[in-house]
Amino acid sequence: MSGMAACMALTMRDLKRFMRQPSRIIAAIGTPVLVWIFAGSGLSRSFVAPVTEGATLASNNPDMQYAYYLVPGMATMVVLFASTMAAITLIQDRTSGFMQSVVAGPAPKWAIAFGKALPCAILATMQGTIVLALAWVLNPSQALVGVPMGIAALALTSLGISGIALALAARIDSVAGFHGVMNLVLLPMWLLSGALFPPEGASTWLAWVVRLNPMTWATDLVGASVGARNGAEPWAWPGTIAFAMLGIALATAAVRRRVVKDGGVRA
Amino acid sequence: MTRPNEPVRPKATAAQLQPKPAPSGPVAAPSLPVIDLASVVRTFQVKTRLGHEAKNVMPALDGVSAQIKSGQWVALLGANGSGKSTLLRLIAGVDAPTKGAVKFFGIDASRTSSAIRRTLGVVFQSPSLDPLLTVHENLAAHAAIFGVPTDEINQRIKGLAEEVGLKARLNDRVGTLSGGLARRADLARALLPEPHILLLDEPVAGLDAASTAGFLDTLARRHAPPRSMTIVMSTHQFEAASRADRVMMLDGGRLVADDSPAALVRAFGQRIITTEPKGVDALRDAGLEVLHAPNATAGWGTMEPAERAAAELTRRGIPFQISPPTLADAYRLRTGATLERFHSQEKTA
Repeated sequence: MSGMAACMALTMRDLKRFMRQPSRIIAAIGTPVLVWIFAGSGLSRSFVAPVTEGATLASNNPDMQYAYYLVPGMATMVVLFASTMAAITLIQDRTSGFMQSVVAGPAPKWAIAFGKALPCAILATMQGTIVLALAWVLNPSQALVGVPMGIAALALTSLGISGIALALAARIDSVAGFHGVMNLVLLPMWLLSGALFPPEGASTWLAWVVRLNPMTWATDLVGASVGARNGAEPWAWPGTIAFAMLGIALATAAVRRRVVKDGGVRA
Repeated sequence: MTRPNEPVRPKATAAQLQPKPAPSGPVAAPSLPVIDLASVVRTFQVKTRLGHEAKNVMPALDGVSAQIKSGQWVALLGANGSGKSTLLRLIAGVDAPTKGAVKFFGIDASRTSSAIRRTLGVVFQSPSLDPLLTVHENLAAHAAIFGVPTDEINQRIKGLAEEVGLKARLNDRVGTLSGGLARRADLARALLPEPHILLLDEPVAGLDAASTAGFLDTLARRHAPPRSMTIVMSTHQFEAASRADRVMMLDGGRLVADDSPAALVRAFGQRIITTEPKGVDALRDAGLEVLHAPNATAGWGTMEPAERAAAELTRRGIPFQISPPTLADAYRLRTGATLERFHSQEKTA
């Protein structure tokens, strides 16, 4: 049980840190709303959103239709960025010396990895849920029954991304370098998820990349939960769960490697 | 990883640096070793300007062997870059040796079980408390991480806050504390799980005299019976090291001396004379043990030859200083450290 206690202590610490940094709170709430407004209204005439079965929008305005299509993609984008931003705290914890004292303690390495990934995922999911709520502004008749599934998909995806981000943060010493690598890996994943435009019509190889992309699964699962997509691949749920587990496994391995093989968690 | 400047080694012979055997100090072994260092080597690859790792490696520790027994207070004394922090990290299990073995209760230090690690408290050089959280929140979080039973956490925090003098600041954010108070809070954090062994890396660096004394007094209380806590503390400050039962002097990654502070000092006789290079003959003629290096000329021995040497130096008009040997002298003569470096460290202390 000490592993769970350590995990919860680390989680609560990061959540308290978040609540005591007003700039992070403003960014967390403001970013998704601004992105959605600008992308939904400004780019709507550049795309023709596919018709979603059963969606009865509050307005027949094409701007609204595209904005509705964008909701799941914006939610996953927010999760992507929020998870990576939260993972930066690991670099801060390493440079400040906090992580050294934790690693020297009795907590299992999985508990340390999970205790860092969980607050990242919680914060990211909360921000994604704010975007998800915008679906009801556009489509008040949307049933609420799908909401828990949408939030679950966001939570699992954010756990996976947080784990990958933490694994990278454990090896990279500078915040700037971390951002560069994250953008290299995760931004293409999001762009190839059908978040901004439907992937239909892509070349065969690209279509497969899109279908096997965990961000596509998340976008489709979230989209289906609010009626902004017609459905998801059959492997989307098991794939998303596996993605979350992979993220935690990578983060755990990174913490362990950093301690045993790579000469300790260094300042 | 880069390393601070290498200590300057004068070309003194090994015989010059070997003082006469001294009787053992208060380093009596109460029981079995809890920490066993066997020919420990730790090297770091040097990165070039372009970030590539060079093939040549830099030894931070070079064949250190020692055993630390339960109930001892050991000071790892050395200048910057001598390897003391690296050694402490190896003992703490957050780093692994390149060669040799670091064992904790007979088990590889980087692979010890949670049960064994729970007996260990560590205060690293960098503060490990979160400046955004209050002292109480920080301590409570670490207590949970270290497996302190939930129903005991508040009681232990209150007791420790009183012991280290932080009771009135428990609900203040750590970021608002002075350096000395933050250090004491970090000590309280390490003591929360009631460890049997406490590791501290430069715990009093940067503290004023009063804070240093207060901090060391707290350690002394923990070290005294009935707790008899084992303490391993790295420091470059002679005053702090002299509070320990045993001093392990490190220089350039090598263990150059290992004994009680009193024994280390006694080995250099009753008086030590520091003078200019041209006074070396006077020291030798008087029958003193002599270190004659480009940057240090000193002689030591009993009172009678020291007084003879002093008289001769006076007669020749060569400036000199004569005094009872101190731990600083012992360190300087064992390592051949430059006088400048020795004095700068003494001022820091």
